[in-house]
Amino acid sequence: MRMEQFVRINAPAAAAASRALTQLAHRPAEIKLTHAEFVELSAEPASFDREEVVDGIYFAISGGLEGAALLCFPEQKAFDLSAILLGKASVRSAKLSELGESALMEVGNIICGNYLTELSNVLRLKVVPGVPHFARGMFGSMLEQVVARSSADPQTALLIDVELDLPAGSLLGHLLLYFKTGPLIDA
Amino acid sequence: MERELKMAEIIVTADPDDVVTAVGVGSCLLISLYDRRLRIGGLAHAVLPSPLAEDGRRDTRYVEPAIKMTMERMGALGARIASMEAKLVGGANMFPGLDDEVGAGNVSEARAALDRLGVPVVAEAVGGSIGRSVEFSVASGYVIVRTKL
Repeated sequence: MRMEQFVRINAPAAAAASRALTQLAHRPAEIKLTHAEFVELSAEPASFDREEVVDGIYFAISGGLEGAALLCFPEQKAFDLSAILLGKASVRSAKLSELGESALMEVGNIICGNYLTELSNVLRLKVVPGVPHFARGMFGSMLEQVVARSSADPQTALLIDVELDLPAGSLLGHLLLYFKTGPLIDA
Repeated sequence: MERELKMAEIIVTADPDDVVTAVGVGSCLLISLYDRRLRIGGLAHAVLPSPLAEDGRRDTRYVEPAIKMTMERMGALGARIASMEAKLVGGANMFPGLDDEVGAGNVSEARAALDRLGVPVVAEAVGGSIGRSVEFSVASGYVIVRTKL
């Protein structure tokens, strides 16, 4: 698939994810999947500092395609997002509460699940995300583990900017999709 | 000079002005090797414990080939195994809920390989669920480990 085909998936996936997030948050919420680019996993994606502390949600991808997805939000934005979803004031602390982590994982399910559903429709293959796993730490260290679990070969991944518009404000995160099947991404 | 090491790479140097860095290391393993006598240093950034397939390639993505190639390059600069010592950094599991043995496997593979090769492991900062960044000074042999908690 070429970049323009991936970009075409963004709009319907974002619309479906927005509806689901609106239901979850009990308030109007809009998800936009905006800028998308191919990045070399061996290099440093331009949007991230490898030492930046992020909250990450990892999914194995299985079915007709195997790979992995990593949804990341900068630390403070993740606090804000979980607070919005839980209807609380955002308080910065050493770590998110278990409930906060669950809320972020649910956002991950919504975004990643809807993107893979649209991708499945285009490819006519069933591609499904696995159970979400949460981590807080340096972006580079999470990226390494995704690469190591997916394959030993650092290859090309798809990096999509994720914008969440909620009544309390906007948040920007990133979705990184990596597929073992090399020819899927035709850079 | 600061030299950045990326995944699956090796840097070997005898330049005392060199500081080799690696940023945001998770399940991967950094293996520093240092000849204290001649102040020759090597840093390897291995990704996986062992090759998925026995294809005979000497691939620095894997722990043991990475260690052996680092030692060979240091040997070419005059380093001797008898003067070498090793330090290990990394081998974390960033996702605590995930049953992932890659990080722990990297550490145990490195310990076993270094033992077989006769190089003592003199320090470790391994495991847990934290990312680590490293600065390896060729002049002193010190490995400075930085993390964000």
